Amino acid sequence: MVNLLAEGYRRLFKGKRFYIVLAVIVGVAAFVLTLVTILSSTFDDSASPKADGMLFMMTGTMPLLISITAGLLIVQDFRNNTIRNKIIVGHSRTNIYLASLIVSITVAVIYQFAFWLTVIGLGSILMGFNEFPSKAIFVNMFVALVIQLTFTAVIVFLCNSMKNIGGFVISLTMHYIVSMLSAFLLFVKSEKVQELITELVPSYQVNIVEYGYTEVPEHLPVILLADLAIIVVTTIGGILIFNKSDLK
Amino acid sequence: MDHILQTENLSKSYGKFKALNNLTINVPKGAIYGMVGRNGAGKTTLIRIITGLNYPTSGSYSVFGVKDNDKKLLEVRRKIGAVVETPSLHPEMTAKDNLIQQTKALGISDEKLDDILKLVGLANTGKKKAKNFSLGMRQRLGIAFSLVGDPEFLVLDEPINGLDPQGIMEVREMILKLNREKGITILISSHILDELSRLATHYGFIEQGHVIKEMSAEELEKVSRRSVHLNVNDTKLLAEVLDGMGAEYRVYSPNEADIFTPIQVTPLVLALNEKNCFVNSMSEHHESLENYFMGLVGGARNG
Repeated sequence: MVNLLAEGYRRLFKGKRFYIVLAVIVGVAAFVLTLVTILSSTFDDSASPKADGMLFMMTGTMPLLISITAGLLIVQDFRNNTIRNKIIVGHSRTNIYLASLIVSITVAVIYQFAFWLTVIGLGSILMGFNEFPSKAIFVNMFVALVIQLTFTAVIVFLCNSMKNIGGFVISLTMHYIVSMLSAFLLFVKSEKVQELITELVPSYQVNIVEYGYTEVPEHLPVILLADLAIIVVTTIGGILIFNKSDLK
Repeated sequence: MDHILQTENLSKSYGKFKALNNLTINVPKGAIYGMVGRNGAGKTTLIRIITGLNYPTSGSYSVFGVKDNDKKLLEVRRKIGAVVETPSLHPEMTAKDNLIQQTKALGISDEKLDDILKLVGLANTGKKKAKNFSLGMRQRLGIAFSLVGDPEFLVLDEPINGLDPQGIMEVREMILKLNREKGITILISSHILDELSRLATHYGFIEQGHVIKEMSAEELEKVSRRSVHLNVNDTKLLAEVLDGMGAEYRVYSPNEADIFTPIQVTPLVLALNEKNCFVNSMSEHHESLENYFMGLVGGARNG
């Protein structure tokens, strides 16, 4: 496993993609903060926006960015057939899958923290914070991180199971597709069921932290258990599928 | 005799298509085992199974004496190096970076990489990325990949595809060197049977997913027949004459044919002359690996 991680991390950090996406994340955070500061001082100096909400503004975009780096890293291993080099020398497929998951989780964590550090650093200088640091915001940041880990587990599952660009494209767009399907929630009559679906599906959990970051989510254990269940099910399922599949 | 690889009634089906059909081969330790077969005979499927990329539908195999259902199989796979079909490379990396990737996967040092690159003729590729390599260079880098872990068993699927004549010669010498000096057992499949015949110490002839014959190079030498190769103005006329003589022959082109039955030259030439068939050249040959294979699989051989 250690060898597989060394191989995976070297491939990750040797490529340009990881750094380009990282630069985009930091750049977007810096740009938005700067723009909001300039606009508020130019057009309405009575309002003084704070950077608290900015901490969660990329929660829904992050899965796409993680997918660009981590998803493509996995898919290219299959496309270039370099996955063979690991299987031929006796690495178990379970370990190969888990190593991919760990490398992908590393990507997710680095990207998420790079974004937060930029917002906290630049936000403190340009706009200041209303509530941060507060318990509610830290809990929501934790939930946001868990959501990213859940998306990452699904990305790894899709890319490892489909082994092609199709898997990458689905992982890239899944959050937006599921978000669009939220319209169907209107047909669910029971409010309780609606609320439960919102708490169980990561794409809808994003809204909970993006718009409710000033309060600890009401059913926090449900959200965390749902994410844990998705991570466990996709990982076990992904390993089983990978272990049974024939490779080129 | 010690065997590095043994398969027992190995079968692999893709839907209704049987890629391997009760295939049994025995690769002796220290051998260069040449797998001979047409396209789709099952050579690559066999290689994919023994390298762990595919699973057999039924049957079993053992590598270094370890059965495929034994957990120790993963351990012994460390002693295998393989190039399966197209070389598996990281296109955005240089040749050396590619090999460093493999040292990471194996958890070994990268001190031998320069020697490996030199051995495969890629020592001077510098910062050129693998995506800009020619087919031959990729092929060599694929072989280099397979050598990184100091394998005791090397599996090479069409290793000289895309190589120029000099490259073919260099790879041949490299394979012989690895076998003779390091004692590496090599399983090799190639369509270029002439080239295979210069390397192999043992052969397995595969047809429709089944091994129809296994033999050593010495045994092949004994059973392969002598033939007379003829270049004539019209092989149709030659065929008529040979049919009349009850001879065994094979026609390759409108001008070329081999005769396998011992035959007296003068009566043949006179008979051909009567039919206005003129002999341009005539030479005696030992039956080639290609001829032997075609005979085995029931190619165009007469008689």
